[in-house]
This record gives sequence, C-alpha cells and structure tokens, in this order.
Amino acid sequence: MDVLIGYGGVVVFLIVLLVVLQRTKGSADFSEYATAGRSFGPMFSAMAFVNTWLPGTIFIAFAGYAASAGAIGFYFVAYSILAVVLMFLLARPVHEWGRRFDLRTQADLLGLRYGSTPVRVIAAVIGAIASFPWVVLGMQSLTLVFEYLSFGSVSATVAALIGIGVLVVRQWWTVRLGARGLVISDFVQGVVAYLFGTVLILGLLTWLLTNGHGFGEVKPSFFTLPGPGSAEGPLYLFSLIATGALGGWCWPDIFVRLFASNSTKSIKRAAVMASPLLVIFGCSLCLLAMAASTLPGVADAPDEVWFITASVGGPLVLTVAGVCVLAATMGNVGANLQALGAQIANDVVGPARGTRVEDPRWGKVSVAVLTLLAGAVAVATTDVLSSGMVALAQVSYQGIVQLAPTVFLGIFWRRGNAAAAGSAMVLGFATACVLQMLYPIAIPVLGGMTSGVAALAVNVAVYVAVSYLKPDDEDERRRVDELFDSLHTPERMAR
Amino acid sequence: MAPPVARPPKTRAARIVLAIAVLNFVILLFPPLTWIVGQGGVWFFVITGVLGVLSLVVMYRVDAGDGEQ
Repeated sequence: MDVLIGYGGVVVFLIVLLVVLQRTKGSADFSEYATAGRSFGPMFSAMAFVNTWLPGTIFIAFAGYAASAGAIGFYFVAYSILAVVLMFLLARPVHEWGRRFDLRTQADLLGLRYGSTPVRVIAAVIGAIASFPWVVLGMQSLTLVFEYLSFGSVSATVAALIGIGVLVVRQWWTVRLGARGLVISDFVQGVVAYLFGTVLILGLLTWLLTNGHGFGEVKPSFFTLPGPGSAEGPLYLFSLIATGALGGWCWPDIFVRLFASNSTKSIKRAAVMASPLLVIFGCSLCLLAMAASTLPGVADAPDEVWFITASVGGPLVLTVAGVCVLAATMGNVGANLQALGAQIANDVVGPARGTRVEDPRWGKVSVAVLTLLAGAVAVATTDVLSSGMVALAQVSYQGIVQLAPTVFLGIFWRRGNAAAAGSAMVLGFATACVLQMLYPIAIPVLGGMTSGVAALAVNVAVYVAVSYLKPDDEDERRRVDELFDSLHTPERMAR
Repeated sequence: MAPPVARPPKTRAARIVLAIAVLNFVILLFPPLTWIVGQGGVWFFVITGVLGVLSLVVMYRVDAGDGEQ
C-alpha cells in the first residue's frame, strides 16, 4: 500500500507537469529553441534561475554536509547570494548584447566579445566537458527517491534504473520544446521543490525542535566555522564560497537563463525575487539538517537526512519530500542537457560547418544524443562511488570556474582580448585538473585553498599579463569600444 | 563602422550599485570575518543572507530611480 502512495505521488506530479508541457508551443527557429525567444518576465525568470541553480542534490549531498559538519554547510547560501548580486550586474550587458546580436549561448557571447572563434569553441568544449559528469550524477541522484518511496519494495540498483529512466523519458519534452518548455516546467518544478519544500522543511523543523532534537542537543563544534588551526585550513571556506559564486555563471545552463528574459529590468527584478527564496529555503534546509543530526541513523548516512527526517511524518509526508527532490533534479538535469545541446550545435557544429545554425533540428538532435549518452553512462556507472564519477564531477567543478576571468573580465573590462582569454582558460583548466588530482579536498600549504581557486590566481595573472603584453590592434580595440558603447547608445552595430 | 562615441560618465546610482555589490563580496569573502564569529557560524550566514537580500532591494531601487533599466 505504501509503495502505491510513494510511486503514485510521483505519477501525479509527472502528469501535472506533462499536461503543462503539452500546452507549450514549439520553436520556429534555432534562436527561439535556445533562448525561448527572450520572452519571459521576472517571475518566470526568477523561478527558472532558482530551479536551475539549485540541483536536486541540494536535499541530499548539501543537506548531508550540514548534517555531518554543521554551519559550514550553509556555504551554498552565501555563494548563492553573491551569484544573484552578479546576476544583477550581468543583466544589462548580457541581455543587450544577446538581443542585439542574437546570441544564444554563453560561448556565443564570448565569441562576440573577443571576436574569436577559438575562444568560442574552447569555452563551449570546457563547458560541455565540465557539465557532462553532473548530468550523469543528476540522473543517478534519484536513486534515494525511488528507494525510499518504494518502502523497501525495490533494491537500490532497481531504484537507480527507475530514476534514470524517468529522467531520460522526461527529456523528450526538453528535446521537443527547447528553452521555452524548460522555463515553463521550471516554474512548476520550482514551486513544488522550493515553495512546497520550504513549507515542508519548516513543518519538519518544528517537529524536531518540539520532540527533543533542538539545537541544544547538537554538537558544539557544529556552530563554528573553519579558521586558523582548523583541519580544513583558514582559506577553505573562502574557497568554497568563491568557487560557487564565480563558477556559477560559468555553467552554460545557468548563464543561458539570462537570454530567456524579455528585458534587463526583468533580469534585475528576477534577481531581487530569487534572493529571499534562496536565503529562506537554504537556511531552513541547513537548520533542519543540523537539528536532525541527532536523529537515529543520520550520523551513519548523513546524505539521507532529508528522507530520514521526512519519514517521521509517515508515507504521505515522505512522498511529498521525494517529489520535492524529483522536481529539483528535473529542473537542473533538463537545463543542463538543453544548454549543452544548444551550445554544441551552435558553437561547435556551426563553426565546424562554417555556418550560423538556424534550424532548430540541430539543437533537438544534439540534446537527444546527449540525453541518450548521459543515460547510457548513468546506467553503466550505477555504482556511483566506485565508478569515479564523483571524483570526475569534483574535478569538473574546479575546471569550470576557470572560465570566470574570461567571462567576467570580458564583460566588464574592455582591455581583455582573445589571446588573453584563450591562454588563461587553457592554462587555468590544466592547472586546476592537475592540482585537483594531487589535492582532492584542499591544498594544505596554501591554507586550505581549493585547487580551483589556486588555479584561478594563475588564470587571472595570465589573463591580465597577456592583455597588457599583447594588446589588440587598433581595429579590434575600436570594435570592442563600440561593443561596450552600444550599451549606452541606440542600436547601430551589426555583428 | 561608425565613429566611436565618448564613453558615458558613471552615474551616482551606478556607483552606489557597484559599491553595494563590492560590499557584499567583501563581507562574504573576507576570511577573517568568518574566523572571528566563534560559535556564531549559523548566525553569520543568516545575517549575511538577510543583508544580501536587502542589498539587492536597495540596488534595484537605486537603479530604477536612475532610469538605468
């Protein structure tokens, strides 16, 4: 009976979602497919950002970190706030350039800014390489959902296959509808995951606090942050927050959300609307995880804290908890696949064929191939801990942040050029990969700095040095000046 | 190509928005601040989170008042 409630809840949620998606219209051309025709207002933009920004594993690995380590687990709230502040600053240049030059992807924007196809292709390839392991992990992250909601009826392996199957089938609509379908489904998924989710979190937190699991019972060390003399090192927390904030806008799926908004004002309003949701949801979830750390079983399996806590409410509450994770995961995996598919079609296939992609079929084929590939890898590496997929994902996070100097200095500083961007990205990515292999957690001699942040120092130094030592010629400087000046003048530039 | 236009001066509102953004980064990324909070790790994140939300509201109002959007 319980399994009917659990899996029945998932089916009801999927039916609601599919009804909404079936009413969504398709795309007439590639630009529409990749950017939803730059048509969404602040409400949809805010929820699309939140649903893409927070992966489903926020309820699993992130909550688990707070349940096992305490206050440091809140670091994602801090970097989320900084990312929203950056979203506010990025709004004008990204939207204006996107609209005027029909930009469809992050790599497309970098290609325009630096006037360079190699920069565009390198950015697209780094984005795809770094994102793919996360798509696979996202597909596998539903294992706990289908295991708990089966109430013991299916094994972990079968639950993993069900989760992967649901996400692969769900992508049919991503392939067919592109960005428009994603933004609309993000709204439904976001409401379920983060609004219903917050209500559920507050209810469970109240139960914990009134049933002997208050913060007085939590280990005192949970309330301190790592500093000088700590095991992690004094710069470890700084590194986590910096990587999250700067790396966030380097992910192609996050960045492309800016292109779906209908104006600069909409993006800025979306930033203002997203911030309280991120803070209230994030802080509530971490507080819940810390309070629940004293529940039996949580110390042994902190990643299951969300499900163990929801179990106290019976099958219905556990089902709602599972659906929250499913909704959050769908938003993130779908966004990733759509953005990567569009980027490969637009910024790798297009330049290779020497044409600008206009047919949406290129995007659809690209997203479909990526979905099947990710599904196959997810099935082949179901035993995720022994497959090395987690290690690969950690490397990729330190790698993706190496796009940050090229993205931010490119958008806010006129002097940066293609030579600087290309050399900084390649050297930064290589340095991050090597350091991550040598120091998977943190680098002790650098005060606990992570590999990505250490490589970022090399990256920025190379970018600035090359920008000054190998300046652009007069024509390119004038082109870049016009590009920046176009943000303050009526439309007059052509691509 | 059209002749270059003079770079527009930064408005007061743009400077305020930038200053608030920088302040947020300093508060959340200046390591000594997280070292001195002692047992107040949770409060540090809750308070900085609320400050971040308020900052964005102020940035939006200042920006809107300048007609920048």
